[in-house]
This record gives sequence, C-alpha cells and structure tokens, in this order.
Amino acid sequence: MSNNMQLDGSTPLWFAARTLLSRRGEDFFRLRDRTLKTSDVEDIHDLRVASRRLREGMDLFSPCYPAGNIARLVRQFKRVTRLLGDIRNTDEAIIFFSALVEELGPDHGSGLEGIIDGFLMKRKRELKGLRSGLREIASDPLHDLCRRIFNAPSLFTPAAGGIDLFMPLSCFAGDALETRLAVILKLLPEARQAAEIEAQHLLRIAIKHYRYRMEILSFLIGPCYEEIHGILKSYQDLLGKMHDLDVFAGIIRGTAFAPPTDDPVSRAITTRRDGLFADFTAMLEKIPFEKIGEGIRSTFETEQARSN
Amino acid sequence: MKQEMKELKKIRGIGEVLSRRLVEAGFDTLAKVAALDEETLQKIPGMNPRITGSILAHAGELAAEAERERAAMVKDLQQQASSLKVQVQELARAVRDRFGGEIGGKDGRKAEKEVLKVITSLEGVEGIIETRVNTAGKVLAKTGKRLEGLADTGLRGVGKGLKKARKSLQRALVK
Repeated sequence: MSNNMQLDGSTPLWFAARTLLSRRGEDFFRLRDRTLKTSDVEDIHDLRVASRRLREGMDLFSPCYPAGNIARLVRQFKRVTRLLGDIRNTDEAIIFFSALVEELGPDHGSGLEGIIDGFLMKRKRELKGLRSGLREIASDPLHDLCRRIFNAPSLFTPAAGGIDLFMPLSCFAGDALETRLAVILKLLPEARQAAEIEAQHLLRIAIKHYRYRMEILSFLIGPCYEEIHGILKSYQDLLGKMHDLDVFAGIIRGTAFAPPTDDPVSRAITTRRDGLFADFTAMLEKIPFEKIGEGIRSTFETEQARSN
Repeated sequence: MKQEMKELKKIRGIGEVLSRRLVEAGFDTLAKVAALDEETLQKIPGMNPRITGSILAHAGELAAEAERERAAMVKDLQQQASSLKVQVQELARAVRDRFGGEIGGKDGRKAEKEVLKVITSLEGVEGIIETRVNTAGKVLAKTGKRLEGLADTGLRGVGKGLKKARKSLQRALVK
C-alpha cells in the first residue's frame, strides 16, 4: 500500500491515525519477514521494538476506531512482544554474565559458568520455538486483519472519550504526549529513592511509552525532536541497565550455589548499580522532565497556532 | 506495433520501413535504440552505415527528453492523487457537518465505508503511477470529475457517487 502522502499538524485525526498505524504495521511485518529469514539477534531486537511501537500507536489512536477492534489486535501483538522478549532477555543475560566472568577472572567467576551454560541451552530452545511461534502468532491473516482494521477508523460514529475525529492532528498530539509525561512526573518522586526498585522499573516503562509516542509524532515536533529523543533514550538506557542488574542479582540469589552476599559477583553488581543510580539522579538534576515537557509544549503551541 | 513505430519515426533518418524493422528486432522504444552501439544498428537491413552515429545521437536526445516529460508527469499525477485524497477528507467533513442527525443511519454508514474505500483505492493508484502513467492519469482525472459536486448532494447521493469513483479506481488497479 502506498502511504506517501505528507502528513502535518493540520491533517484530520482520523486520516493521520489510519496512515500512521498502517505505516507502523507494514514496518512490523517487513521486519517479521527479515527475522524469519535471518534469526539474527539484532533483527529479533528490531522486531520486538517494532511490535512495541505498533502497540503504542494502537494505544494512541484507539479512540479513532470502533470499540474492540484495536483491543483485539493489541492482544495478539502482546503475545509477539512476549515471545521475542524471552529470547532477548536470554541474550542480555549471556552477554552480561560472560563479561562478568572476564572482569572477575576464573577464580571468582567460576560459579557463573554454570549460569551461562544454562542460558545458552535456554537460548537454543527459544530460538527453535521462535520461528514457528512467529509464523503462528504474527501470521499473514494477522497482517490482513491489521490492514482491514487500520484502514477503517470510525468516521461518523462518536469516538471514545468524545474526541472529535476531524480535529487537526496537532491538537490531539499535544494532549497525547502530555498524558504520557504526566505518568512519568507522577512516578519520579518515588523513583528518586535508591531502594525503590519497582518505581524505577515503572519509570523506565513510562519513559519508553513516552519515547515511542514521540517517535510516532516526530514529524510534528520540529528541530528539538532529535535532542529530546536522545535525552529520553539516555534515561531509558540508564534505567534499563539498572533493571537488568536487578534481574541478574535475582538470578544469582536464586541459583543453587547461592553465594554469600559479600561475594565478588554480588559486590560487583551492587557497585555497578549504585554507580548507575548516581548517574540517574545527576541526570535528573541536569535535565529535568519538566523541562522536556516545556520544550514539547511550546512546539505544539506554535503548531496549533499555525493550524488555526 | 504502430504506436512503437510512430515513436521511432521521430528519430531523424528513421522512416516507415526502418522503424518496422527496428520494432521487429526488439528495439521498440527510443531508450532501447539509444542504448544500441553502431555495429548492432548497422545490422538492421537497409540501415545506412554513414548515418548510424547521428541516429543514435538523436535517439539519445529524444529518449532523455521523453524521460524528463515522464518524470514531470509522474510528479504531477502524484500531486493530483494527493489533492484528491484531501478532497475526499474535506468531503467527509462536509458530510459530517451537513448530516449530523442522519449520519448514524444506513446511508451514513455506507458513505463512511465508501470514503475509506476511495482513499484506499487512491493509495493503490498512487502505487501504479510510476509503472502505468497513462492509466493512472486517466483514472485520476475521472475520479476528480466524479467527486465534483458531491458535497452538495444528499447523503445517499454521496455514498453512490463515491462508490462510482471507487469502482473506476479499482478497475484501473485490476487491469
């Protein structure tokens, strides 16, 4: 399908929803074909990110569609993300523990080799199930269903939440980004506490949603987009590394050899996490989210003034 | 064949006979002739070896000009398709504003379905502009005519008019 029409802030919401979701959908299925062909780690990762972006797009534009249609697709794509997430997590664990063995040397890291072997076996099993799983879940009939649903927003039926589907995209987009930012701002006070691991994890997810939403609407944001996007990515990477360390610390605690808390492996993980947390709080001081919100807000105010 | 011969006769030094022989040899476009070397061209029966150089040069000029014209036409048609899509969006808005109460009924649902289908079909035609310039040009012009005045008709008329426009677009895609 050709979707080469240029969208801008004045494009009616229903038309923008249809075009942007179709693009995201086509992108996902293009990457699915590539992953089925190569089974490459990076392709798997790209496909997983594409599935997340598509889900964020569906969440963003769901008020433009008849109730139930988008929910049905979201359920399917959640299964795809989960399938791809398992193998990605395993890859991350292999990379992390292998690097730790090298860092600590054979004497300290010997217990880790068993863990790495376990993950390598797990990866083999997961990779085997990936191709058939993808063919079954992200199937061609799902591709057709996506096309049918994305192409059919409810034009004349009142939308959920009383949204005017003919409003300019820029009016809708500004509010949509504010909604995601509000979640981040709400989580921040708790996430600033070093011990609040769960809040930090939730913050990471909230930033990810905000970032994906921003990517979908990037063409409206203008020259400050690249900089803001880069900042969000840095936050996400930092919090992602912290979360990975929490997961890996849990794996160490749960293993049969259960090392004492002051063993070199646990110490290395704790030191690394403390350092990352210090970077995170320093970043919050330097580039607060309120400032990011202000930048985006002023862009949309200008855009809306232009549309009116 | 006649169409191809007519095209080749634009080259200075190529008449009825030589154009037929060129087409029969598989060199049926200006670009194909322009891409030949003198030796191959001289193998065409009746070709004067003294003018093959100038034939190739002129064929090259004509082919380049035709390519420029084609590119301009493609661009023009792409713009035409884009503005038709905007026209359909505006029609949808006008329908929503004019038939507020009626729009939830059967005719409203039909009109909605047709608005979306026409847009999808226009996107389909956008996809063939590069390869089938003439077909795309004809059907886009026809669609423009069919959409004219629809904003002033009744709700049922809008649905019917859009359906006609969509059918022509789809026929062009099938051919």
